[in-house]
Amino acid sequence: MSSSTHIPSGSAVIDPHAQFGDLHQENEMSVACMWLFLATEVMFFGGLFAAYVIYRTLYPHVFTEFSHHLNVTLGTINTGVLLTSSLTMVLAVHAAQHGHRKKLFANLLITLVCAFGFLGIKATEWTTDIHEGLGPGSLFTYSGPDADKGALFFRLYYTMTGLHGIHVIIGIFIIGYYLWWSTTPRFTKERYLPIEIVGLYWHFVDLIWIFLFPLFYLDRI
Amino acid sequence: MRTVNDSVSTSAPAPLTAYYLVYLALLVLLVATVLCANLHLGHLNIVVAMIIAGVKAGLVLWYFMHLRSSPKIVMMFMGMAVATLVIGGILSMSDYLAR
Repeated sequence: MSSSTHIPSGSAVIDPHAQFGDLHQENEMSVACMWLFLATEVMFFGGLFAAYVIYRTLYPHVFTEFSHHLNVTLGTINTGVLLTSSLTMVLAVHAAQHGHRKKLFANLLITLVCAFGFLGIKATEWTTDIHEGLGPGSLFTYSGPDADKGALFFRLYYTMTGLHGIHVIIGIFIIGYYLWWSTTPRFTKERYLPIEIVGLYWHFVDLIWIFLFPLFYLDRI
Repeated sequence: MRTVNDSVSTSAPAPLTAYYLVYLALLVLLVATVLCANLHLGHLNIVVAMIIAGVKAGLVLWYFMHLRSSPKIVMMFMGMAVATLVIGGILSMSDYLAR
């Protein structure tokens, strides 16, 4: 099925897949399906956020006390790094839509550097925490008051930031692939859609961190 | 080819400005939330932090993720996810708090 009549003259002709009437419909469906995946991700992380809220409600003073063990400065810098990567990601999408290959490459590269920077800072924090006896599971050797509930706080911390970290690592692979893709002839401004979908994923990773940061680092009294 | 690209970039500078402004707002809100955490508001601290996080999330969703120009079904997907989460959260909380 050909629908090249829907494509404005002068641009490269891309036929939609057979089940779609035109390219616009196909693009809209691809974006909607990515959002459907993100909706499942909201519920995936939501379960963990619910666990945090329940135990935070049951042991409010323990959670606010143990929050002081986390490094706010590094957490703030990391949030800034992730927000910056979100800006460069949206600039990459903009560049892709307008067919600016070099800007697309540069912005994806900065996004990738920010992602590595985020993981590096996170690894530094985790290493420090583990050395202080505030590690996950059996690495939790803290013996002050409320140590058992403090262990719960840190288990939630490692599970939630760890799951977020896995999402960042997956993002690094996907962005890395499209960094290479943007240098090949397969990239044209009519085929910008993969970048927009990668962008949605990356912004979602940023969104999760926007909530994780105040919950763990700033929940102080 | 280059002239075509140039004409495209000059005809659409508006969204780029919006992206930079949103980024600036996100950084200001980040500084604000860290400063508020030192205000000693008691348990209100977490409420203020969550309100600021909500505003930041809204900015990312609306401008960076183009929610404002997305198909309506996207709103429905996210609405359903959040609604499911709220229902599950209320049921779990009512269980734990009543123990």
